[in-house]
Amino acid sequence: MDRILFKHVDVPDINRLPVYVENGGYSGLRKALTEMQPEEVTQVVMDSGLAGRGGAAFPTGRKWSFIPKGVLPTYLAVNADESEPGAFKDRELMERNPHQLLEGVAISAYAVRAEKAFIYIRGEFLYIEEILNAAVAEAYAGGYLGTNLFGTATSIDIVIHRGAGAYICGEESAMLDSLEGYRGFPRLKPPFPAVKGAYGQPTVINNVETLANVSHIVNNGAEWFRSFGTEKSPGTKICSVSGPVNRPGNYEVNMGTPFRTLLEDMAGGLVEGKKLKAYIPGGASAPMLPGTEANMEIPLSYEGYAAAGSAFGSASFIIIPDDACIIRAQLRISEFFAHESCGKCIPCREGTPWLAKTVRRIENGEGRQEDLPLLLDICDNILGRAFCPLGDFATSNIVASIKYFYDEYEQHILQRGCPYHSAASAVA
Amino acid sequence: MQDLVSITVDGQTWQVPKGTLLWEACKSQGIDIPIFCYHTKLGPVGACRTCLVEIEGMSKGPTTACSTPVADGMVVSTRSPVVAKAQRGIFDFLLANHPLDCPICDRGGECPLQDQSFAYGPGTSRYIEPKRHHVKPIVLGPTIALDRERCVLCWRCVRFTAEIAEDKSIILLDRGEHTVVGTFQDEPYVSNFSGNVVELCPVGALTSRKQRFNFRPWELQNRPSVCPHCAFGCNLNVSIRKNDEVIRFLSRDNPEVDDSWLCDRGRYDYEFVNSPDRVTAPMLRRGDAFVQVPWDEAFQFIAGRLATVVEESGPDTVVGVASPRLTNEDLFVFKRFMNAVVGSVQVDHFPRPQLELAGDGETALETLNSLNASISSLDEARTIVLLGADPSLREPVMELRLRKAVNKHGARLVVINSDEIPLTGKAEARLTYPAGRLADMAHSLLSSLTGGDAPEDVGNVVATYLTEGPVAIVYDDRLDGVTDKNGALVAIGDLAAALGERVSVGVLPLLDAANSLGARDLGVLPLGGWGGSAVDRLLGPDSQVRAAFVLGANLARDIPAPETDRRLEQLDLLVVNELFLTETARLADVVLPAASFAEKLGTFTNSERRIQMVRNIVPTPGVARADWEILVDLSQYTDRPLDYALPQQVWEDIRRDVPVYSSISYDTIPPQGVRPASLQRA
Ligand SMILES: Cc1cc2nc3c(=O)[nH]c(=O)nc-3n(C[C@H](O)[C@H](O)[C@H](O)COP(=O)(O)O)c2cc1C
Ligand code: SF4
Ligand code: SF4
Ligand code: FES
Repeated sequence: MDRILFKHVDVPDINRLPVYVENGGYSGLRKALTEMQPEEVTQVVMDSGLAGRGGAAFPTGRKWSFIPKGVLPTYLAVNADESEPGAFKDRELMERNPHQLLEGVAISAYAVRAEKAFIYIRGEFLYIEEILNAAVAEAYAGGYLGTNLFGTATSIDIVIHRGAGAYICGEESAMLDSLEGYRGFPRLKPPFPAVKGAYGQPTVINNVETLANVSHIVNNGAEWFRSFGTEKSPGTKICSVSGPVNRPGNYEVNMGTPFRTLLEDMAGGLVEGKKLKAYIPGGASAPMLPGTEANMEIPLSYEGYAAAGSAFGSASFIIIPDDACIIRAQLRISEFFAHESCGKCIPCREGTPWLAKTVRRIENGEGRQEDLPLLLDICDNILGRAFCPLGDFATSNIVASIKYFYDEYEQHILQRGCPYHSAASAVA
Repeated sequence: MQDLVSITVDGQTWQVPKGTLLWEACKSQGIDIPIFCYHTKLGPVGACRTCLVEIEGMSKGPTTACSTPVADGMVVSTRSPVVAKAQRGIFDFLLANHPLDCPICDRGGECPLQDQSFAYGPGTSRYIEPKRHHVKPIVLGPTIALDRERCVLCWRCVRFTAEIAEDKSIILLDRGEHTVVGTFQDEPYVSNFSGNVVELCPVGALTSRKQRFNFRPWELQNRPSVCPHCAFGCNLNVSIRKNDEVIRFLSRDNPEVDDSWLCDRGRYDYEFVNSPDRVTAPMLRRGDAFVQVPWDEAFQFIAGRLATVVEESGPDTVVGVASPRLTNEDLFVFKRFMNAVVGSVQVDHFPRPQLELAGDGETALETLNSLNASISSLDEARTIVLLGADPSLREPVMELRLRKAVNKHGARLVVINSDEIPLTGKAEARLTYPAGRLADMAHSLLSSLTGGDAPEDVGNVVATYLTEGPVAIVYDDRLDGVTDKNGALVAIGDLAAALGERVSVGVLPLLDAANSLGARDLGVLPLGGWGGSAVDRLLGPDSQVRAAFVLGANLARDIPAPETDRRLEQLDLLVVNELFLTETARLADVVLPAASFAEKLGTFTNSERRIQMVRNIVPTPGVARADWEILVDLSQYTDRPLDYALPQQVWEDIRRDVPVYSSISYDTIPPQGVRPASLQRA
């Protein structure tokens, strides 16, 4: 298997600095700092085609190039908020190989001339904070963080900051609010963070997985990186697979690999007796797809899922089996978004609980025929009207589940209740 | 010349300055786009999404007009089917959980939510889930009540306290649909500016505890006026009911002065106008009591006594003291009455700084006067120095202007005071001095500026902040608690003059009352100017004064001493024009019922020398009249009658007499007042 990020994941004690260094660790940082100008680092990342792994797949090198020249200090903020239902890849990357992240962060900070990088960790990741703190301490002691690294004029500090636990704080500007000690609300843009971000200074925000790739790109070059993946989605991707499969977990795939390989070969297929009814490819915010043969063959890539009318997003695959109630699955998703709506804007604040309450009524057997057009119209009134993408995210599965499982909704309404066995229909 | 760009909205094409927010551009062209969270003075936050419009070429769909700057060639639709659908959707959301009991809501009738739902909403609601409920009302603080069910979470109150008053008191709590407005740990919201959040609130969520449920908006009419409570001169709309009752004060945006804010002192002090305790008829003392008499009888009595006193002891045994809360017209006629009708030069205004200014003191005052800066010039200042001045206490809305100058225009604030003041926290630099020793501090500053000796911290402030203009100096003309008042004033004047030789300098005084500067400009001072004091003459130990006219000045309260009462009682004639039976009025022989600022036409001169109009908005109680009218009428009972029938005529004489006012014609004073042409842009 082609592996970049998980290549060393099984090496014992890879989380310890000596072992990481033995396996070639921090050579990328040394190379960048001693042999390359910051612009060259940005260039190689740009050439590699690395795109943001936080969900939006924005080209990473291009993002860095937006940082205005000569406005100091600049900051790098690492998005480790990972709160999307179905996503648990960043967690494993940090848990198993923290130095790989720190090295990528240090190189990226150098590329945008930031002397300080913040790693913003999801509130619930207390134990990961401890792992990262230990790794950061080792890196300082080993001379990989701090002042005058490798005898150069470059200084890089990393600050670990744990949030209080809110999905919205994964939205980059809300993350900055939270980092600064405020309640996390998405900020009005412009100004974009590249111009006015953390503490009013130019800031680059990247996902954990995105930055974990950087040392490998610097070490091996853009061409090498492009030898993985597809033309439009170079590299590999860590896919989280959850639901009733034999081997749930994270799998690093070469982008372009068909979904079938991920589900059947890597995750071991569905557990005995269950069949695939539907799956969500990119976390709760990505529209579900029915488990058709055609949808089994979709190449794992941004373009592949865009063409199928869904989104690869953070590559968080939620597997929905045939004995699960779609309405109940949708209810979980809708209640999640209603719960996580920050409350800043009207469409999301008022619309998401309305969706959730309506879906709950349907599941409880109090649905009305007019609730289906109502749900779709509420979605239409949120989509593209909300302040930030969270509102849009809340609509995608309502629209998809009604589109693909209209009958199941109707059944609930006509039978005045859920036709599934309540225990069996629970979906993780 | 600003860069102009051309935009097309709903088929109309016109030019607007580059960078203008699309909503503002549309508004200036009369194109209505609904808003809740946007507010001209607060800027965009983009939270409510009611202002969605379609911009050609924007792939993301409708965009918020409130947060989008215009760009050249922009083509916009504010009423396409997509926009109309988006607007209906937002109003559907807005009303989903909103109570629909407008008939019992305080905002009903002047509610943007009502009006805009009617114009842009879907008409009916499809929401059948149970509505959110909250305990109501919640007491937010001593002045404000909150109804959380009505709140649309527009952030206006939050932004006001965060960005304008900067006390960050009102915050958002909880998340999503549970988000509510509140305060940290339910601490009371206490602010000098709390009333502004009621006015900003676009629904009936925030109400004034003093005013809630006292009126229905449609009973009210708004009339322009000016706040009578301090010399900053914030503009007001006075809401009146049934043509005769003053119900509330609202702000009336004057970007040059108040920037649309009022302080609570100004906003909530209006009940005096309709007070049942007003003096409504002339009253003559009969023994220990007063009896109401017709004007004629009161005037005959006064004229008789006055003639006797003047004949027996000469006109200079008659003094006149007027309050600087009176209009220029009142004060001018008062002075003329004293000078020409009585024949006395013993006129004065009170309260005022009690200075014994010799020659150099007068010069200092003249210097400071000549450097009088405009309030809006604070926005251009590189440095603003508060020299022994606490605007928050004296002219509260100036505090908000100063915060804005610092936040929006990068002014550097230097606070020089013996005490902590609310603006200390906003200061980039501060100097302190022992209580009362303002004169020494001003001398040190002057010395440092002119190359002499000065303590190091003073030297640093001078070097860093006073060597680059423009510099604005705010000083407190009252000099309360200052040990050497004359010395301090002279030193401040010298400092300003010396600074003026180096950089561009403007001076804003904090003054005693709404028309203190008018009283000075009109020269309502005794012979000898600042050096004399008609009040001292009246109350002094060997006073020869036998008769006094006191207009609105409460000497017995403000100079509390048994001697004050005794002197006033002993007078052969004490005439007091008043709204109320004040401590001073109670000692009078005759009390004459005067009109309040809301009952007469006239002008005030604020501390930046802006001439602003107050108007006869409600009738006077009983037979009360404006002070100037009373004096004109009274003069008819003497052999030197005054000849004024209208305030305009008085103003024409003021123009002739007071050169700095000569350029201003009464009929053309704009709604926002005007500064004399000779001062403009200073
Ligand atoms: C509601 C919401 C939640 C998000 N949560 C995360 C998150 O948990 N982790 C993450 O990396 N990006 C998250 N994002 C995306 C970030 O805003 C941002 O695009 C990303 O961190 C950029 O990094 P990248 O370019 O490396 O992907 C979220 C976006 C939204 C709108
Ligand atoms: S869409 Fe609106 S309410 Fe929802 S999370 Fe974003 S800003 Fe907050
Ligand atoms: S209380 Fe009023 S001003 Fe404050 S957020 Fe609610 S609606 Fe807006
Ligand atoms: S007015 Fe534009 S988003 Fe509220």
